[in-house]
Amino acid sequence: MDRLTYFLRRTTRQLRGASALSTLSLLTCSVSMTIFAVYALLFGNVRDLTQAWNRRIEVHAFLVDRLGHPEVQELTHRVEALPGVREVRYISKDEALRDVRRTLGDSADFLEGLDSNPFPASLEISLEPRYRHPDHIREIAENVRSLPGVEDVEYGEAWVRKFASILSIVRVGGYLLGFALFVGVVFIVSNTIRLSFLARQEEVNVMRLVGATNTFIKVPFYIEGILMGAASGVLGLALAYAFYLAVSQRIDVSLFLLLGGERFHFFSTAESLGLIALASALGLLGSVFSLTRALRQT
Amino acid sequence: MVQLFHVSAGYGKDTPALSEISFSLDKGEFAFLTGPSGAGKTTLLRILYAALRPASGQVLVGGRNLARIRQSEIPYLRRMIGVVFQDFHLLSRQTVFENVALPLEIRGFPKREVHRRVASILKLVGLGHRSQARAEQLSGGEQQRTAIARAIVGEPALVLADEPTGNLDDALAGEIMELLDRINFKGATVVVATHNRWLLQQYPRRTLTLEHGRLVGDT
Repeated sequence: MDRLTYFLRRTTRQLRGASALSTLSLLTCSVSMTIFAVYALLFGNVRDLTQAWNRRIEVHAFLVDRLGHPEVQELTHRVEALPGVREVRYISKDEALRDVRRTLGDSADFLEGLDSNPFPASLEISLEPRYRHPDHIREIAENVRSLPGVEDVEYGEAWVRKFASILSIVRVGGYLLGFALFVGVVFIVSNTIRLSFLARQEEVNVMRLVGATNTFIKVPFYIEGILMGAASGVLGLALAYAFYLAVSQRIDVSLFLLLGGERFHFFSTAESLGLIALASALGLLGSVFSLTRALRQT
Repeated sequence: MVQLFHVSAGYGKDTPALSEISFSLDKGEFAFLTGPSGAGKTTLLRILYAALRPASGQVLVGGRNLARIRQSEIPYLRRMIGVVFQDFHLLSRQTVFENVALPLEIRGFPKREVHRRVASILKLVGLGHRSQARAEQLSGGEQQRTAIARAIVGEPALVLADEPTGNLDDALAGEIMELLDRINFKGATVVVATHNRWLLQQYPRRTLTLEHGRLVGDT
């Protein structure tokens, strides 16, 4: 405990002793963290949006006309028994007409002139998450199509395939870009700590002459890295929040609702704390890298 | 305490700084290391506190062979050696107290013990009243006394001083010598590198003379 207090005291003295350099370093790290936080915010929202879209992937089975209640029930049970099917909802002809009316709103007037209801009854089939892949969906759709009482099956094959590729681009591209930013932040923090180390070269030399081990020399710089990381994480988060406020006021809420029922949202408390912890870890990692290099060279 | 056998060292292939040096110092001995500038005094001291590895020969300090010492062992060797430099090597923006406390803090002494020892050493070197002054605010003599205090606060077995009176007038040089004498009296082996003839005349001690990297006299 005495040792930790001593190292904290030395770190504080170190930071105070070079306050201009510390402030500059903090600002540099904060800018990097802000870019990282804003990126994480955008990536998180896009990912949630694509997941919301993914949840909405369904297979529609249109039924032959005048199918009796027992047949519909029998068919529903058989579809439910298929692997990958989560839920089956029966939409009667009347419900289908009501849905179309509701969707069309004011433009639904032309439906009034119809003699009979032209919309078929259908089964709305939602899928288990791991079956929401083009190949699985196709297989399920073919199985449903072969059942008696089913006239046609629709699931927007082209759209599902396009969506799957968008999803994988978002995932892979997102993580790659995230990793590149992560490496960039470590590099910046590492160089910042290195500058701080070089500014204290004289002190380090003196410490060595009086018997300081490398660990003794490094610990205050590690603490400095962690503190710098945490502080820049907090600042980065605050600036990302300002960005969020500015952007969310400009985005039409209905646009997001239309896109997937998701709202543009900020990090949760756990995510925010996680980001600060990550920033601290980056600070530590940066200082480990720079000191290993710097001590080898001196 | 110190034994050198045929020690040679150099900073380049063709410029040997030391050549075939052999001598030994007993525990509690006081010796001057003298010779003109460039004779190899500083190089020899650097070998003794493991800042430089000899090119050949064996160096024993306190039973450790410095020709083969591992990098990770050097800090522990230096804790038994106190080094005083001509240009002091103090942390200019830190106080006298902080400078002197450093070797004890490195060794993990409790805060109270650090305070007790530093206060006692500062009293010994006559700087009790300057403990909170920053090193950069001190006069040359005060800085050298601070450097000596830092070198001896950990009660080292060996004290190496490289031109400790180089920047000081004779009166101040005398004060510094009195201090080194006192440290020696307490049992430490002391080696003082100097080319100050006045000092050698005033304080007759064993004198090792270097010229062009060779030991040419041991009186």
